[in-house]
Amino acid sequence: MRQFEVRISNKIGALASVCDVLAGTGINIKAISTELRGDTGVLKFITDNEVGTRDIIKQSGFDFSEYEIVPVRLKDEPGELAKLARGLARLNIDIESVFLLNKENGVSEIAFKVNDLKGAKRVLG
Amino acid sequence: MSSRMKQFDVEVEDKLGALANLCELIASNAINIKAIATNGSGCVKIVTEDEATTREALKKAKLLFSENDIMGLRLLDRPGELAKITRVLANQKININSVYLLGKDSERKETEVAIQVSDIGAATKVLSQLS
Repeated sequence: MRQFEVRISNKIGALASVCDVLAGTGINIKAISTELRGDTGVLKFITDNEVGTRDIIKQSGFDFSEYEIVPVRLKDEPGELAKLARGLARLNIDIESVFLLNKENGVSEIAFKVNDLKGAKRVLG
Repeated sequence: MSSRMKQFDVEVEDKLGALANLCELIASNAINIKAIATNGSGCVKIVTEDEATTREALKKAKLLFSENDIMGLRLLDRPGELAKITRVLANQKININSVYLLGKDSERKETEVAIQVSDIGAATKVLSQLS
């Protein structure tokens, strides 16, 4: 699964401008999360159309990068995420980013960006 | 259309196991995490099912944290819905500090997102006029 990161200025309308571009191409945002790195805003998202997303954000001149992430499904109850995060830490796998992909009917799906994708996939399946 | 909830912004060290430590602390208090999103390497945003206990647990563990009011918004899960909301807020000069997913309801084809804004009162007002 591909995570796109678009760097935007931390000002009013910056988020809307990215959402507008995606919507204008009929792309649905499956999951989204924001981050502040100094004065720069970072918009992390996953869409239902990777190729279309890449094309349109390139064309629009946005400053972006993309990463492979590991989606993990967990029971939506206390301790599940703790167990998983501890398991990765024991294997010296650093978690760089976490956000929710989905949550429904007692199951959470979480996107992990890690420093060792292969290692994480072995653990997380 | 919108509900209000509390987001805890917890400072964590940028080191291996930091997220595990935080999640274990929350879990050991039998608190369920409703939503989580990292904010750079030094901060984790969490929304839980028990605000009072979360606050106590974070305090007891001597973690540095702040609390922010966020809006939970239910949107149709289709292209353009988030664009519409963010454009309306931008037109009202309301800054969006943070956005992340809270959940989905595929039966109703809805997505619930958390939005943290510069003026939650004004945002609630303008968004209530949309629906």
